[in-house]
Amino acid sequence: MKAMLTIEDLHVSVDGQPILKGLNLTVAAGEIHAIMGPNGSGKSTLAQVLAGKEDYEITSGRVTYRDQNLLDMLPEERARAGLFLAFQYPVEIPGVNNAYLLKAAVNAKRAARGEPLVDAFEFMQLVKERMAQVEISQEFLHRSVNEGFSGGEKKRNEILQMLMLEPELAVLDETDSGLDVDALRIVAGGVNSLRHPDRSMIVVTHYQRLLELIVPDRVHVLANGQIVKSGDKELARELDERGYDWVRTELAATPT
Amino acid sequence: MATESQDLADIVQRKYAHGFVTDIEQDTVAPGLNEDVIRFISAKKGEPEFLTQWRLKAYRHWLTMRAPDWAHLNIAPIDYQAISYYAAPKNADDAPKSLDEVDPKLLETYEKLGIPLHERARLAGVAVDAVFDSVSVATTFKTKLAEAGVIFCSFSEAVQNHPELIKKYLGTVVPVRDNYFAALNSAVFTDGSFVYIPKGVRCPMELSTYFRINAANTGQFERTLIIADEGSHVSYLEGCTAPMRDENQLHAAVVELVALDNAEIKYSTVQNWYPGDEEGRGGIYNFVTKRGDCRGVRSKISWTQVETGSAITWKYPSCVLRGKDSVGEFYSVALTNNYQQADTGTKMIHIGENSRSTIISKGISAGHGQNAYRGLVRIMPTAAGARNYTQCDSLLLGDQCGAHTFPYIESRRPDARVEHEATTSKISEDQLFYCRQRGLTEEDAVNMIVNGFCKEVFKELPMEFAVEAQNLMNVSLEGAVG
Amino acid sequence: MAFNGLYKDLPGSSAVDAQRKDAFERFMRAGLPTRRDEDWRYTEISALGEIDFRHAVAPPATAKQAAHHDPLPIRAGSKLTFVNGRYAPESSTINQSHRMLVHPLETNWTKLSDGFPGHERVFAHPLGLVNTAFTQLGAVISIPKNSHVDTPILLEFLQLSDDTLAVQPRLIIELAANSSAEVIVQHAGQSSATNWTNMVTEIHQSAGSKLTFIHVQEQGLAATHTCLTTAALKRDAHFSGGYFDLGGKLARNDIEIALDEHGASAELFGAFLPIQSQHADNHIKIDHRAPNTTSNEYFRGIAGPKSRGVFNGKVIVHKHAQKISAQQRSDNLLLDKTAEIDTKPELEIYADDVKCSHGATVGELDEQHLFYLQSRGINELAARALLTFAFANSSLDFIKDEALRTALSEKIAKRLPQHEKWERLT
Repeated sequence: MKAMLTIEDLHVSVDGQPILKGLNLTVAAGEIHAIMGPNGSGKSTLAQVLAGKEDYEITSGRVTYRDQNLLDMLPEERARAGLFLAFQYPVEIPGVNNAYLLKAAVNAKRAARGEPLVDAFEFMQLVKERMAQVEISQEFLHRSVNEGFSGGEKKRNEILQMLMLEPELAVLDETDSGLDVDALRIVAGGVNSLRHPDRSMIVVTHYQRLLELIVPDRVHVLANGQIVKSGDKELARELDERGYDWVRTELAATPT
Repeated sequence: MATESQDLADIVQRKYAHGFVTDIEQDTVAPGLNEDVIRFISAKKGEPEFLTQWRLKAYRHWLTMRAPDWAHLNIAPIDYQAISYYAAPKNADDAPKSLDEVDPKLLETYEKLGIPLHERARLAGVAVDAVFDSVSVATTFKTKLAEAGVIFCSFSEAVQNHPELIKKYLGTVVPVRDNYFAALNSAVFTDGSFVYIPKGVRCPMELSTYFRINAANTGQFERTLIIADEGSHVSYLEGCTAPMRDENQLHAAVVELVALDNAEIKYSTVQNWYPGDEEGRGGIYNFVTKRGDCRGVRSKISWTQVETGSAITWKYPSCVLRGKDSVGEFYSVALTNNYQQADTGTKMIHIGENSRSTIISKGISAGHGQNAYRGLVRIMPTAAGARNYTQCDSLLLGDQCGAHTFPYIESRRPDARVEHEATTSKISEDQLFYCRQRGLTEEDAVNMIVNGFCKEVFKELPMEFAVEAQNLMNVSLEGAVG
Repeated sequence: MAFNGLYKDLPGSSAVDAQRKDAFERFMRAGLPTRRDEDWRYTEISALGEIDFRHAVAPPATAKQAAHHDPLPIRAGSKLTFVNGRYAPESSTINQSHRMLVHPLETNWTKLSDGFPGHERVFAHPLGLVNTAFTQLGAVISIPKNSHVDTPILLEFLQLSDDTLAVQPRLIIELAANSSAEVIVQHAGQSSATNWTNMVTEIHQSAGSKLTFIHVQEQGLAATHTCLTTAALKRDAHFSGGYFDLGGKLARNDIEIALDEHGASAELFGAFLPIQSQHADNHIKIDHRAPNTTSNEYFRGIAGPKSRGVFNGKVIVHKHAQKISAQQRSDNLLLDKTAEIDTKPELEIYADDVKCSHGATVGELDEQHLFYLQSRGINELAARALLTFAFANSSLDFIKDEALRTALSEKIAKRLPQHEKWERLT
């Protein structure tokens, strides 16, 4: 199988403090990987580093995305190459309307790929369809990006953007946090609808409940900046039952 | 939104798009200012004696005044004797009666400015009164307006055809002694626009003026007077450009608005005078006095301005809220880039009972630009139940610029309520990253966020102006990012 | 000008004398500010130049006289009392210890061998010049390194004379590194004389020091009270200043804070209540000169009949002073048709990584609050009085010392009209 993303021995620091300490991960095309781990283990750091946030210092390691050196690319280049990050805390942008951002984003990607730009009519058709899918009412299109949205609305808006942009690699950073059961179902439905042999996803989460709805091919446990344990979906269940302490104890017992 | 296909170098090189000079023979008076020059201007325009005397009175008072120095501006001294106070296009003596008679070169100029007079007038239903340097050269749609009883003409024409209205209203909102630049304007103004909307008439179209300073070493001193009689309504648009020149040129206009009972005036400005170059050389000094008098009950005056041009802007479009239940509004976007300076804001003087005012000001500073909001809200003891709300936000792009807020609130009514809120910040890194993660370049993201920041003001502009304003913001911000 | 007579027989050291001479000459050239000066737009003091002021000439008041006023019920570690422009040792208690040094200037002019430490601001300010030229009383408070003074140091200035005195106190507070202290200055007087108090407080805070400074002004209704506080803060120093102006015919506070080094912070709060044909003006300038500095201002003004309240808060963020947070709030109430409030919260910003905001309101009581109280059975008059009091009282939330907070709360209540209406209910 062809590799979508390969992370080799990635070390990342923030303000001189190491967060990721030699992380290795390979995600093949068509796969869904879940990354689980306790708070502070480096899950969100990984998501932000993949998207190109500048506050992180990459001290060593390589990340290859579809045969390109991801770490050399600007955030917008990564986005146009098909990498999408659903933010844990989507930012509010006063005065900028949602429809405008969506259209600009879709066209930025199309232009970069030499595809024809979406016209107003086509765009509206597409967006209405996708909005129905994530159960967002159309008035949201004309509101400012994330401004005054509830936590659940913000997360659904992230999924709407993902559906519109049809990324090759989607990274979902704790998209389930703060969601009620209904919203969780909507979000999972959106994600599952994008499942495709040429598309991969990395689902970062603290809890197993999302993984009941988005069934991962692989589950990894991130602790202290490294992937310490990998397995199939059963690992998520086991974690849920036994807690992260179980991994810690097990690790302590294993000589490195 | 710019796309990848655009040549980046081209964008960076893009200069002031309106910087071309039209070659037309000027009928210009030699530089310098004295009573003879004023008499010359007045005679040239065939003005009645009362106006000549009014000008001289203003001039004599101006001689006793000093240029204001209280604004947060650094102004190089102005040599008022080096300015030529009259420059009319040569063929102005036989003033054009219709568009066809307008010098084709002038029309070409307007084409370059992006206001194809014919098309724009026809398609948008806008009547345009274009002021080229000092004299009004073309007024369209006179017939249609005349049918509604609306008078829309150059100030000079109004002096000839409606002297009684000029005599009644001129200087009643901005007295000749009001301030240094208003006094100067009163002495030497050459032309401008005049609007009268009769009782009960809703002006059938938006009225528009385009101002342009063309000749070197000339000042532009236009005078605008708009009177909305009882129950009438008018929306007036004003656009400004000037060619690139090394030296600074002075623009000292006066705009007076009068709204009688139940009348409404909406005055929108997109000001894009030449701002000077990247080193701060040249550019227009824009020292303008704009004031509206809400004389009647339930009258309303609304100012909207987008100020992206000029080397220095000094203007405070204000409302005197005399009428009971009268309403004043001020919506402003001011952008300073490179070495531009702006000290702008408004005054809301509440005199009438239950008078209300709203001030929304958005300042954007980039490069070495200095941007100050200065506003006065004064509640007089007569203004029972008056209300004011002010929101004043500043955005900083880069660490070499400045953003300043100087609000004055003076209240003398216990039952009045005045609220003022202001914030100053830069674009957050998180907002930029979010947009870039969605595939936008940093420059596009900044433009988008800045336009979002200005949205509350842009939505007050008529549609075609709003689009122009947005484009203007993007062009004006070039080089400010990254 | 009437000030010539004041400039003689003044105490000092040779360095102080030189400073006095310079300040006097500069003041005589510049004169008192007028309303044409932007900083004095709303407050007129030029009439002071017409009054024939005298230095303290009355004999020092007795302790008995001093006891007439309304003291602050606080447990002060040291207390310095000044009556009619003279130090009153018999009413004072000085607790010198290894933790602090308190010197009344009266007997310590020689300690100022280098002159007043001063700030350029004191010498740039018209009232700073007046004070420097004429001061004849005051104190120096020094807190040594790492000392924490746990009881407040109280300075009382009492005006009990009927003479037209010009009292020009100078207070110098120096906090060495990582020290902390609380200083309370109370100005009180029952005199109906048109005396003038013009105080300068110079504050010098070293790295990591913390100062709480409370100013309580309740002078007679004919008095003029002007007061300049300058503070310069080094790295991580914190200044907390409370200003409560209740008395005086005219009161003007100029507060100028320089946040000179990384991490320095200041909070300024207070209430001004010109209620009975009074005028109160608070004029604040905060200079953020270094990165990561923060400031917070919170002032409440209430103006009654024929009275005027003024607030002018200016925050300046200098170039390269990044990561700044600065907040200002000025909320005001007008109680009468003949009252006036002028407020001018200003921001001048030359750096971009800042979060600055200000808010100002002028108005009347919230109708919903009134209705709520009335619906609970409180009559309108009492409800209004209670809400007015609550409005002013919220400025006390910054004070940690409960006894002081209670005392100030009572003083505020007494100044407000109709206070007995709700006090009976509580």
